[in-house]
Amino acid sequence: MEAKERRICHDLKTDRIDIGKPLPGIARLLPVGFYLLSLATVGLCLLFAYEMKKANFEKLAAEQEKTEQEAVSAKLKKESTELEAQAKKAEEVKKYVNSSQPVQELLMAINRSVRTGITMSDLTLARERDDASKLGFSVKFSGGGQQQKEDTLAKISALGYRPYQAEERRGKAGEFDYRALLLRTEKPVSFKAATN
Amino acid sequence: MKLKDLTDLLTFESFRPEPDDGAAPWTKRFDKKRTLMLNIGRKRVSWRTMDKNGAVAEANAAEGEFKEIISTMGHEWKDQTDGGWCGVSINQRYVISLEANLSRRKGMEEMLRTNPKAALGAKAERGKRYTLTHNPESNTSVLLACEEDPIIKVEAALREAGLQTGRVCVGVYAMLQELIDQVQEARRVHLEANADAKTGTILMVACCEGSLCAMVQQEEQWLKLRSRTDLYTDDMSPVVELLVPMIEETGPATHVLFMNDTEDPGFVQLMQARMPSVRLSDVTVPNQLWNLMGDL
Repeated sequence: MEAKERRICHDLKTDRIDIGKPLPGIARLLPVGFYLLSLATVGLCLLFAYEMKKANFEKLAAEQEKTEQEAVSAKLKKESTELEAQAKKAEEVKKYVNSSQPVQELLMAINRSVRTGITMSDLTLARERDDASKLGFSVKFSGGGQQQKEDTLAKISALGYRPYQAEERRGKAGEFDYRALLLRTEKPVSFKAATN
Repeated sequence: MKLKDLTDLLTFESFRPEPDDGAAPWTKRFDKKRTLMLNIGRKRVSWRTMDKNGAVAEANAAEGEFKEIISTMGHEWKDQTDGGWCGVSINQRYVISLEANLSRRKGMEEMLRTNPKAALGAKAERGKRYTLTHNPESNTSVLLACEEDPIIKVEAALREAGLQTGRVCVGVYAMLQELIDQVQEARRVHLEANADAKTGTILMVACCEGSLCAMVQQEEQWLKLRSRTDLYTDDMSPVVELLVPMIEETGPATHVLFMNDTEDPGFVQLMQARMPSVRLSDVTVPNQLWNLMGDL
């Protein structure tokens, strides 16, 4: 004789006709899989939410950095523009300096021509817009008279300029105004020749 | 597919037997659920609740007919259960008999439930429900025939009270089955130790709520069975009176195995007073009937 399994108590109740058998144990994989998938879904959602939040933070940081970089870029651009403007001005100054170089010699010569005790209260050299070889010249001396004029014109002539359409005016207090159009010549001319 | 099928699948209910599947143990049908056990006598009903862990609570009883008691206790019983599921032991309008040469072919027990006529032939009667226990070592079987009427009435009364029937059994028959199993197990152990050993004559006595079933087994043979309902109340003298002639007939070496629905020393005292030399073993355990009804 073999040991028997424990007996289930008999049952005389009215049977329900559609009593189903329990599902086989292997089918537990279905709900277990469902719960695992649900857990995985929740986990992935949480992971995605975390990553999205992280990405948003990174995006905000990147946008902030972009704004900062743009500000820096704008600042640099502004500086660059300013530098370009300054460079342009410098170029203009350079051009001016370069273009006024021939006149500088003339100015120095005129300045040196002023004798001691005589004051040069006004000096103007204006280049003609249409013809760079023509210079409007006007000078005002207090004292000196004819002699000073001749000295100054001699110096100008030495540098190859010839006065043209000259006008002069003398004041009562020894003031002397001279105005002429200086023409550039190829060779230095003597004062005599120039005045003639 | 219904929504319930899906929820049952997700809550793993689909992998457990249905609550009214009589072929499944009570503990598996009502795992982690509170249930009610009722023992219905002619003039007395006793009950106990079984908690979620299968532990049996304190006994309660009320004198009177079941119909009257359920009308007052129904709501309380329902509150004490999850889903209102009850196991019922009825103790009247049944007959337990000893039969020989009953068919033991496969599916016989199922056929006995669905078509008793086909299973039992001329022995089957209309309006009765049957169950049987075969003697594995001989051609005899114990047959329980219970009238349908009290079963249907109990089911209807429970339904009216909002309760559901998980099991209807005859308590004394369940206890006799337990005694048979214990004797078979003892014989198996005895014969394994010594194949030529004799187990002698055993008188199995099951008592439940006034009902008695006594069966004589000599070695492997079931020889005699006597069954009575409403035989006793609190005083077990009628039981002793019925057993004494049986013991005298089977001989003084008869080993009396006694099982009661509740622990009560009354029978042993009466029996020892009446037959001091008889070998008597009271195998009743606490909550005996409730344990059997709950498949514990």
